[in-house]
Amino acid sequence: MEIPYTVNARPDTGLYNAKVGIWLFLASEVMLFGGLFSSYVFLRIGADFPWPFHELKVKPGFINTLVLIASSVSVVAAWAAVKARRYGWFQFNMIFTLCCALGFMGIKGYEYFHKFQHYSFEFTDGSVINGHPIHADEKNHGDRIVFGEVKSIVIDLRNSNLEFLEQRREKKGELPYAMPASGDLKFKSPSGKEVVLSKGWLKAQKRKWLDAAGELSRTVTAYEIEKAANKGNDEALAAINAKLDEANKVAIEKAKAEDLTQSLKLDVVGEPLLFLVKESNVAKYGQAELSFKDSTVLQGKLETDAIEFNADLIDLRKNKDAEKALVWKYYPDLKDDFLRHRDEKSEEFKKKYPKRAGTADADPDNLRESLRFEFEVALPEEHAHKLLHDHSMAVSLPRSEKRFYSNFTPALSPYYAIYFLMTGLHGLHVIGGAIVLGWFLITGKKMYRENPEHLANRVEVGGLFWHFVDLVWIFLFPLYYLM
Amino acid sequence: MDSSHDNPTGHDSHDHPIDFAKAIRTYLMVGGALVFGTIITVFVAYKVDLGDIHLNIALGLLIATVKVSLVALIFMHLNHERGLIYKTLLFTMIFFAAMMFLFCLAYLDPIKDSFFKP
Amino acid sequence: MSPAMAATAEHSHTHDAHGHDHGHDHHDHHDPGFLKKYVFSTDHKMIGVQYGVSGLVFLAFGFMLMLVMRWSIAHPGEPLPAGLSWILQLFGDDFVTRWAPDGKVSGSLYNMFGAMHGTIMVFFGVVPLGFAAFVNFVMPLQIGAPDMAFPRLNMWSYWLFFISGVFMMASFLLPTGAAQAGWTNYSPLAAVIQRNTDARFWTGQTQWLFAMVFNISASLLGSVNVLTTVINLRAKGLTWMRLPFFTWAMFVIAFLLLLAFPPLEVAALMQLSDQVFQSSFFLPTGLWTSEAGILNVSGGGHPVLFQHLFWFLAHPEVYVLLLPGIAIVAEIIPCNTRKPLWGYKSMVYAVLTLAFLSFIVWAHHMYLTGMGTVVATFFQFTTVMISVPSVILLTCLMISLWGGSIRFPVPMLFATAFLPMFGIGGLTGLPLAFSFIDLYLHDTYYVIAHFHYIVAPGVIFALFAGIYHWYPKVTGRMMGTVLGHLHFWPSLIMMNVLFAPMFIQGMAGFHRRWYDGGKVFEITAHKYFYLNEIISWGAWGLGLAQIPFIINFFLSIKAGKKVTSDNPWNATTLEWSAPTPPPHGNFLTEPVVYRGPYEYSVPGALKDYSPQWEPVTELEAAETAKVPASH
Repeated sequence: MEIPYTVNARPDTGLYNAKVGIWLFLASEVMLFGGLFSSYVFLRIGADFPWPFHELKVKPGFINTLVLIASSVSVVAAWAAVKARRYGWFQFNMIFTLCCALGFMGIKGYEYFHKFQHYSFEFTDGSVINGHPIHADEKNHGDRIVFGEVKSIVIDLRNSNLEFLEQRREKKGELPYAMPASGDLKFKSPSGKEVVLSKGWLKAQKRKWLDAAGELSRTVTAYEIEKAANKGNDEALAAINAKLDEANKVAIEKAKAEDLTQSLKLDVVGEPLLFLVKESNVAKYGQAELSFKDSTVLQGKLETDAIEFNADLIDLRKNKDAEKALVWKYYPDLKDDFLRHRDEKSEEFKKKYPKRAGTADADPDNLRESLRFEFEVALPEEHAHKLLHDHSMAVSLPRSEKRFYSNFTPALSPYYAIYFLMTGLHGLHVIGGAIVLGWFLITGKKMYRENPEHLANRVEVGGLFWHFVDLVWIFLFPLYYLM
Repeated sequence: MDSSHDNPTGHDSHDHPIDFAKAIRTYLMVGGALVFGTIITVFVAYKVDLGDIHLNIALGLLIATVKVSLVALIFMHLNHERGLIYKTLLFTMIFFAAMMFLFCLAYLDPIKDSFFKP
Repeated sequence: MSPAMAATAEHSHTHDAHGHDHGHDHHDHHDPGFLKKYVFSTDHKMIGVQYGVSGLVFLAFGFMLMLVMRWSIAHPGEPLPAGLSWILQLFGDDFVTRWAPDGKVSGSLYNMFGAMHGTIMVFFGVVPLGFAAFVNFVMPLQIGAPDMAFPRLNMWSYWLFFISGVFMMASFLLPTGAAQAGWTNYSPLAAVIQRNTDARFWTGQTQWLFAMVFNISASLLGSVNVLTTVINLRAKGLTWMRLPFFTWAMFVIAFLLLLAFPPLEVAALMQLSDQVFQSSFFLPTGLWTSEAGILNVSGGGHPVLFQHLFWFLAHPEVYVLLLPGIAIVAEIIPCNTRKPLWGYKSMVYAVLTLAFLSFIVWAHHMYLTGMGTVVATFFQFTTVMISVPSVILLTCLMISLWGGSIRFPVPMLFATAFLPMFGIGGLTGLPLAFSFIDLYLHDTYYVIAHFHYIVAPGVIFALFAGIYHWYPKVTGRMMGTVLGHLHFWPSLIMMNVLFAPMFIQGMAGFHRRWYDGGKVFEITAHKYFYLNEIISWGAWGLGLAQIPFIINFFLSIKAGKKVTSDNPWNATTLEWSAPTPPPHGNFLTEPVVYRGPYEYSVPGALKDYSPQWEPVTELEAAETAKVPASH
């Protein structure tokens, strides 16, 4: 028996299999995006920060909406073309749809790319400045933590994986660590051996450590079992404990001789090293010690942890008192401009929206207009250009005054987190849909000759998915770009 | 039911061969309406004063809903679909609405701390 | 000509093209290679067997994790004895060195095993076995379909599940160990516990999420397939109200999976983003840990959002766990009482109501999150309401026993034991529906006992019943009765030794996450310490009681008693009309259904069962007309 109703509808349900399947799948997709939209609402009503309002550039979102609408028309036209047995039209419409998908993803990629290039620094008092850190090079350290005079590195044989060694090799052009740019990193181990630090050495050492630890573990376990068997017999227990201590002592001596203690201190041979460290790799740091997240510890001296930063915008929505904001310590000249701009915009808003004037203090539209000070718009062009691009105008923001610092990625705030998650997931749906439609286009001819109705069904089902993707975007666009 | 497997001009008992030109005209018109709706949404978000920003948001979502209905009804053929699909979607929408509503309700109804007030 | 036959006719030339000899075996059209037949099979029966075997392996594995935990609770601070330490050795020497260097169960190891026990049992054991295995093997046969509607999708579903299983198991071997934040994986704990590592992708917590994303995708594909099959591939004459209750229940479960799982996928993706991209979906502003101080994250998120999304799935999931049990028992009881299922229609409507309500009760798992009275009242109300259809289901099954001439083959033993065991589990759940009681009992052993009574002696007994019941259809041989009894009676006793004392401990305030069995609270808790040991003895005993089953399961493949007919139990549903074991394509002729699913002891019939595929005889019709309609 073959599976029935793959092409023709079952009389009592009136549906062929794939159509039942796709609608059920779409129902689950409704719940998927339903969960995301519900989370969006939950995060938005529960936000303890000013929810970004009218902050995304409308134009790319608007164009993308039109692109998706066009593709929706073309994909349903492709189905109609197969139904009317016009294969040429089908091909044309499918190719058009695929072009739309490509265009959509291109614009999406452009948007994402620009977001990732942009940074935001929040002071402890809630004032925010957006902009760019100076690119780290020989002269500047950008947003890296500079940790110098490193004379020893402590490696944790259980957890360390020396991620920073990889980075040293990958980043060409910039110099993240003032270590010998080429050649080996030489260290002296506690037992006095000379060690060339590399991932390969670490891997071998970790293996040896695990084996040694395993051997000790088996010995200890055997004694522990013996202890459990002799419960209550104090004499026997004391004897076992003595043996246990002895075994431990022997193991530690042996481990020390072969550099197999879990925490391994390596002393630098030659000049002390200087590290430029990305904050995201750091677990914590102080004046004399810096621990990476993989438990590797640098011992040296903290040179500076300030961020060299060229701001392009000051945002004081989160700050209670605009006049005393921390940001004026770094941009004292801009304070008067900011306050004037704020008052002007407030007035302007009240005139422009007379009905909303009463609620202006809490209106996100007004707050955004008056408390976000964009240099490029609010300052004379020459001044703005200088602030944005001249390295000598950069300010140095100490991390002690930082509440949070990140580029525009999901890490920046729950708003951007859910923006990237929803649009990203939507983008994945676009890619998936495009692959399926492309497959139908490529294999369509053969099926069209054999059984055009089967092809029509396939295109209908693929089209239904595509329309759903369009439909999600129709909600995403206003939610993120317009409100 | 008659099988039309090996019939290249096969047709279906419920889906009659369609008038291609007319169908395309309809789809283009709907597409035009969607573009128009998009422009209106942007306009409402930036240029219209309804007295409260939340009203603007509500209006924007309303227009989006109309657009979505157009896509669902015309492009996805939900204007003449089978009962089974309507039933499935109805329950899906109920569960979705319940989810969103109850999430919000749970957030907006916390324990009042009258007893432990400082 | 029916479409199916037309299709067969049309495709027959492809077989000829392969140069097959049709004469030697007319059941089997294709003779695919080993890989295609046993590994990458698209045949629903083979996929069902794959799911079943995987599910059993995962169940055994999850059980072993629990044995290690029970040792730690009963004998805190003592090294594992040889009888249990081999479980740790399964993970390799490095694992033991990292997590139990002195042979004792540490808090971290306990947390890891606790989280993974729950995850594996729920998502990799009971659901794949109870739902995926049984639905795949039995349902298409039961509705007279040649296969699932989308066989290739079905294969994908299994292999996605398999990948997710590999991910989940592999996470034990990572330097960070597996997930350690409970099977519910609540943020912020889940986001913080393994945060300080460079390898964000390769922590146990992230792997857990990856595995869940795969698992969820697999179950979505599976449920779409099941639903489409039931909707579109029912045999001629098999109307909705002639569907066996088993198929009805599976249909409802598939809907639950279809609509409830996506929000968990959302939660998993969000938590993944929190782990990998350092976002703050579930991390509040100013989150502080003793290790890192105030966390370097933006904050502004909501831990409670995770719980909402999680329980939006996980409550329907409870019914996904439970309903296969009821579905199987509802097949076995009428077959062995030789009388119709009592209240078939009310059971169908009850299961539909149950499914609907299960979507709006989830927050009764969250009374402790500080919800106000309005919301708490709403969820108490719906929760109490949902007990009504559950009680209807159980009552119908019990009444079905009344007045029957019951025979007790092994499946019937398990099915009968299911009723009181599930009853205990269900009724002890009622108090938990009320927030003022739940506030006290939340996270205690009372809750553990309650849901384990439902899942372990309840559902898993029903699954055993199903295995014994359909084994002859799968293999053509019966499972041994003596070994079956040796499996059943000790299991029944040990289950109760294991779980009953937990109610007492729970009411005494024992918390479910005490890795040392409450040693820290010795002053107040010591009176109930002796129960720790008793419960653990129950666990060892239960483990031993499964040995006869394992022997029986494998031995019977070759050595079991051969069945003499396609319908060894004299049952009425369509799967028993197929050849044994059913060939590819299932039926030799297109099945036609003439009557309801449970027509046992029909007045006027010549035998005490009237299968669905046999037309109603004149005598039956005349006799039935005299009897007032009972169901």
